[in-house]
Amino acid sequence: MNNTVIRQKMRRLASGEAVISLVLIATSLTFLFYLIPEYIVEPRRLQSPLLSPLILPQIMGWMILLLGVGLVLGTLFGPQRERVEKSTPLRDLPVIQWLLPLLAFAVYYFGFEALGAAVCGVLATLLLFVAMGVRHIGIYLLGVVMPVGICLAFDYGLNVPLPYGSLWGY
Amino acid sequence: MDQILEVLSLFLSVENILMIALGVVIGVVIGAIPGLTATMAVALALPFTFGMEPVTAILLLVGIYKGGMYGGSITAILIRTPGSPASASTLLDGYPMAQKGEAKKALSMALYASCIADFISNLSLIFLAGFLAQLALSFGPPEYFWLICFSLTIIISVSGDSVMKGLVAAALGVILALVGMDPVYGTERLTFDNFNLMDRINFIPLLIGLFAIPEILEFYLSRAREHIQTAVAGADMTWQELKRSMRTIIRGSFIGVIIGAIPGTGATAASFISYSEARRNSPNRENFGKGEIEGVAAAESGNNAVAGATMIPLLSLGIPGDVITAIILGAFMIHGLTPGPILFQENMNLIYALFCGIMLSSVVLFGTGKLAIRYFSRIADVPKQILFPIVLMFCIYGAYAVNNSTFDIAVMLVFGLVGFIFNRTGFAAAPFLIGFILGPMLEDNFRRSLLISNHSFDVFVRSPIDWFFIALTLLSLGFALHRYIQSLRNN
Amino acid sequence: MKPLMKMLMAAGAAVFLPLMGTSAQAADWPAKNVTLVVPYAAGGTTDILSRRVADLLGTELGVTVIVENRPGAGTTVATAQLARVSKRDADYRVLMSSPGHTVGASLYPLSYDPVKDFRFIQNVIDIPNVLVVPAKSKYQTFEEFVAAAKTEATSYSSPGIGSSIHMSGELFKSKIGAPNMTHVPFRGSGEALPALLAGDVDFSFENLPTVYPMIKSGQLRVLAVTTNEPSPFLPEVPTVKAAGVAHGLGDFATSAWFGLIGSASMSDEAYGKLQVAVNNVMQSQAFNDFLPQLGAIAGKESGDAFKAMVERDINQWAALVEATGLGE
Repeated sequence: MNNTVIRQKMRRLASGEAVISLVLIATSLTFLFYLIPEYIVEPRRLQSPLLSPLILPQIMGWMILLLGVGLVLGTLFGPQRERVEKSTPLRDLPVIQWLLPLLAFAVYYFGFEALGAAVCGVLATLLLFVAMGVRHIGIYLLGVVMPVGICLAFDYGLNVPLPYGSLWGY
Repeated sequence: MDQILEVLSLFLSVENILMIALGVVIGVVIGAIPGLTATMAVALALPFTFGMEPVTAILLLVGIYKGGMYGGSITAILIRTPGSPASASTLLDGYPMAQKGEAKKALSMALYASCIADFISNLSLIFLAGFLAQLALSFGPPEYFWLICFSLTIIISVSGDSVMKGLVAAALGVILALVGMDPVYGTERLTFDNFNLMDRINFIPLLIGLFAIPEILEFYLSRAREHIQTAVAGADMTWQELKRSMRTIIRGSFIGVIIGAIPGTGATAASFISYSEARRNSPNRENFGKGEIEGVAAAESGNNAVAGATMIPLLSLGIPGDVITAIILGAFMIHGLTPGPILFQENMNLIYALFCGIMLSSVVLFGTGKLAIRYFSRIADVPKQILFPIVLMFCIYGAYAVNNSTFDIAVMLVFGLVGFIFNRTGFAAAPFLIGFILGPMLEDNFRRSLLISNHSFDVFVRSPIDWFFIALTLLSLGFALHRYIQSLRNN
Repeated sequence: MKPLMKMLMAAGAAVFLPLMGTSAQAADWPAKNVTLVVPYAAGGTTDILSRRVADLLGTELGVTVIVENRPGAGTTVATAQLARVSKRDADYRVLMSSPGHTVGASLYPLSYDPVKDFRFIQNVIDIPNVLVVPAKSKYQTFEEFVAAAKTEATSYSSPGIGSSIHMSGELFKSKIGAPNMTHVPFRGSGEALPALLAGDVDFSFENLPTVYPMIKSGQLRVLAVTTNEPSPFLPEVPTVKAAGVAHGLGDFATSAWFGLIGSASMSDEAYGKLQVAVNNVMQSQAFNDFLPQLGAIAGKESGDAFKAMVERDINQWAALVEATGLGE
């Protein structure tokens, strides 16, 4: 093997595909040799080793390991395949466009029981509108009316009460 | 003659017809809301039926069931958010179609496929109940085991570009489905001493997370402002397209009927099997997953044919095949009726009246669906920067409402991230989902088989049904291998 | 307060936060809607029962009783939530407790004390379990069955680990001393019943209402009931207790019970009024009409007797779980 071939292989190894495979191998090794022994309890009275709760996780762990190795070999020696990039790459994103959605998710998760479903809905929806630069005032009004309306519909129409918000004393 | 009159007097009442219509409408609307499934709708409607006549009460619930099965496909197609688990396979082709501006076409196909399948399912309920009930009883743990082995081969057809990656996704799905208390020994598996994980990861938030959230993340994270495309509802389906998909619909219907009649497998599996079979038999195989109308037809016929068929074990044996029929069983009992052979002997008229109502519900479903398409397809015209925040809100509310648990919101968000990473790295979410659903069933039935046979492997080949599914599994694998070798040659 | 008002106030409450949240006085209990938590998913037997009871209880109290489903970890998720409910809400939250409470105490790691952290209001409904075998089974009588089960290899189905059906089987196994008896767990009765009907498993301790139609149609044969007294639905079938005295089953009694419990910080006022209201519901015609439809009988234990029953069950299951090595 001459130098160019090796360099070419090295380049392939550094490609996204190979990194994914290496992550898979690392994950499966962690799973097989740390998570399974630590977090799956082998029952004290096992009627037959085939009934053990460890079997299926182990098979799956080894399967991922093998497939990970297979994928690495595939990127190294298989036919070079151009993966079609379906989506635009993640860069040059204005801060507001990723920070506000992130904030919206946080509002939903951390505030849902404390602030109540309706308040969270309004807050998050407005944040997301701002993030995308919605300018129409009517849309913002919709962002207030919708969540409150939907909460009411869940409560009255469906009999599925969503949290009112423990901060407000409910 | 007297009997016919009696049946008609039981069935033909304003309330019955009204309740069927109401049920179907409620079902379609609730089914279309992510997180709120047909199961929940039926459970929530149950208390309102306490005061009704038995036939009316049950028809209302059946109407909701059928409407809900169809309703789930609407949001699956329009916003990649399966309204109910069974419509997860509908979005594989339905959503790409909507993106291409063929939302209306996909919705129409879903409706026609659903109604035809529903009709076939009803006919099997009426004419083949006895036979299918017997079949259901001959399915013990070993037969389920092989059925699931066969079902697992569908991973190959839904893996997208790389089967290897599909298998990885499926294996990850299996592992995550095993989190919780071991069903045989009660020991813990990967629960990390977290209370919320003891009862397995909740399926519905996972489903919404896996499909709907990545689409939203993608929109916000990929400088989406420049590539907002206003999808329009587009043209309706043509008769030509329906005719082309007819074989697929009928095949899907029979798959759905058989899976539905066997308790415990479910509509989600049926729709995926139907999808996979359609892909295998279609000349447009390469187009599946990229917006093939036959894919929508296959998925929807598969899951809607289940609804009528699950009534078979319920009515003829008194066994509820899924959670919804368990609730309907509750409704029967509240009214002092006990489904099973006795009901057929003592209350034949009531059974016939129910059959009439169930047939009518297919017709009502068609009408309601037509209306629903007209209004819902406008969702495709709403600009995404307005639509997505509202979709996210529905997803959050829905995920919470399943169990009244904030933990499920977290589950949804985490799997949203998983789905996003999958999308970005070329892993398909469908195999993950199939692994998640079928993995534990495979393990359960393997262990049950060994338990009932005192650890003897003979049990796995105890009946012709076993051999039948072993053969199907091998054929399916052989076919996949054959195709793979062919594709290598072509390159 | 009407939910609509609550919602509007919650939506705009940020400003008024400090003014709100005064607790309702116990003396005028109930001053707001009561929430009945169901520790199972919507649609199960417990859910159906609870919604019916909530309906009747609401009429009795003159407020709406809202049913909230909070499934998870064999009822312990909902129970843990009740244990740490704020003092303000303690009077307005009750839980439909079930054997999951007593079995769960030894099967799950608990963050609460299953007895001390709660006030036991009333056991509302008892659903008996029955020992059933498939029609083609060779066992015709309870006596035949017990004699065979002691030596032969037998298997029984249950809708899941820790259910009253499973625990009845374990208790039975340990009392008669049947080393070759195997538990085959399913997920829900819908999956377990076909295996039983087809004879893949030999027997089961199913809930009576679930298998009643199959007993009537002759697909299943009932050998015994597990309650203290024979069931009014199956008057000629013996109890395990009576028929099995010779086999050490003299104190064998299990059932699926459903009772109301509140948090330990529930006020005496609310506790007393709830007890009266539940009692009135249980006397009502509507309640007694609907019980037989579910093959159920009214629960008897109230207050301290209910608490004692729960304590006894907890001890019984703890000993059994310890002896059988379940969950280890």
